[in-house]
Amino acid sequence: MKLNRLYSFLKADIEEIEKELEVAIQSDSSLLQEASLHLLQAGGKRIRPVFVLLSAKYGVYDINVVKHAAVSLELMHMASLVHDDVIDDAELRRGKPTIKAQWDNRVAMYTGDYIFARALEYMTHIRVPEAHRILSHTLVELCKGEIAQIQDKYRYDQHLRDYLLRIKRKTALLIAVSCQLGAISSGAPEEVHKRLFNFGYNVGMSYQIIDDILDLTSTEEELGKPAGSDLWQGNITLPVLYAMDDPEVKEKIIRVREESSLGEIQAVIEAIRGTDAIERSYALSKRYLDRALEDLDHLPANKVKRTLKNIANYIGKRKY
Amino acid sequence: MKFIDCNHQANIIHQYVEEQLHHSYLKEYIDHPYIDRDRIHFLLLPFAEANGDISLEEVQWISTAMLLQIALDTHEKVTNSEFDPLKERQLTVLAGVYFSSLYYKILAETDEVDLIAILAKAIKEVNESKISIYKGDHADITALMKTLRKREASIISNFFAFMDDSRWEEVVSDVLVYKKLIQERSSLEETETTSFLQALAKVSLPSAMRESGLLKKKSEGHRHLLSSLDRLIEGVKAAVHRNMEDGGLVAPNLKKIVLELLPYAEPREMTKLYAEEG
Repeated sequence: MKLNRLYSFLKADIEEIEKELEVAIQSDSSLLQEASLHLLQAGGKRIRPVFVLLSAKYGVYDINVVKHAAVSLELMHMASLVHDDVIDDAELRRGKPTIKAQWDNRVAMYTGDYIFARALEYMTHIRVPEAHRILSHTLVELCKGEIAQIQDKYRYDQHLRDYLLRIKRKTALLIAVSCQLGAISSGAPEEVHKRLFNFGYNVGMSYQIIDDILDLTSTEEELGKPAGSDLWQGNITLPVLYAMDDPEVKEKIIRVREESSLGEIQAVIEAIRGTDAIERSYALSKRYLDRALEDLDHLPANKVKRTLKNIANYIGKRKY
Repeated sequence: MKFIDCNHQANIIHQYVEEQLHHSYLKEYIDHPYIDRDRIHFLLLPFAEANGDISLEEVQWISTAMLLQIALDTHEKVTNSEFDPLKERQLTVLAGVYFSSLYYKILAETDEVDLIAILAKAIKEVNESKISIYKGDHADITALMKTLRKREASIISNFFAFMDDSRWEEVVSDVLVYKKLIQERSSLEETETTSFLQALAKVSLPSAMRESGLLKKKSEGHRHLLSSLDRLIEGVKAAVHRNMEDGGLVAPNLKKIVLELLPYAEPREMTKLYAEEG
């Protein structure tokens, strides 16, 4: 089943968000608009807007209000992708050339900053100060997380907590805040938006762990980039950390450098797959997923709750 | 506010911005961001008639405008060169994002949603202008100069709009353009190419002259570009003088502040006076 079938009752509103995203990137500069559209049309799961809309159903749902938070969060995610592609010198994203590859780094920087500005403009339509305090705090944490990720590259003596803190900042917080801001922007009670934050956080952690597993278990065709790219770039993910419990595999892993050849990387991936690291990673992902489902237990039973549960389960089982 | 008080306020803001910018790991790999004191003084202009110190909230407003400028300037350092060290480039990108998220965080903490929106509009305008100059899509020099003005002054202009005080907008925009042109001139003299110089060459030189090598000193293209820049500098300088001499626009004590800031923009009479005094 496709992810969007799970929330088909939101179809009209999701279409509204898509339209609004296109409006948001309209610019006096044709190149800025073209580059932003290039990114927008590359698609994506739009998971953050979906969480915003679903969570907003716990308050007084008005798409004309809530759409501002949904569009803003997707734009922030998009801006971070453009900047990340410059950081990683990435040529492809979802199988399409990145903005930096299609144009160059400078165009990518201008586009990323432009999209970020549009995201903030949209967000300021939400006139709840708490929403801005939460989101802005999250953005600062996200940046700190990305800086820490660079600091930790090829640092093989890491602890599990370093990894967990990194993925919290990298992925989980923005999903958590998407859920929370949806609820806040529709005036849902505080206990509900805090519960939704926890749900989003746990789903986000599970999602990123699965992402990190797939980097080692999927094919280049499925990923749109070579398998093991994270490891090659020095990002120590959960399966890699677990695999290093085996001293022989650890010996191979710690020799990975930016200069390593594709063949060397493939051999290390094979060695990691030969351990129980993938299974253990799935197990931790499932623990976060279970916690997310427990968070939902405290929310009123309705269609939204069932949908959130289905999405969480889908994320836990996705193959790419 | 007296000049001495303005300096004191500028110091407070400078210090506040310094504290926000501090990040021990970034510090190891990227150049310390440049904090333009002139810009702090310009942002203080709407408060010039206040008695006594400005509030902490106002310090934060001005500081966020400064942080944004620094964020955008930081991203301007990301080049297309394949030879730049990877880690430096990565951290330069992240530093810019970090500084702009700090602007949002500080304003969100003061509940100043309107200023968040106004400064976001400025970021949008600055990036539209930057890409337009980078791609050199101008019909003539006038259009190029209009874009340069937007690139240099959008943050301050939008800040003045937030303060509902547009008295200083024109003079400050002129001064910022003037400063930028002086900087571009020195880049040309150092034979460093910039997107503005390329855009200027495109609208002011015949293509044969552009192809002859702008950066070769004493080449025809180089000489022509230098003289185009000098004409533009003279034009903007004259506009600054006109504004400075307009007593209705610039109150005497503020005129002094701007003159202290901009020795290169002294009114002609004053330059003449110094020359006569030896």
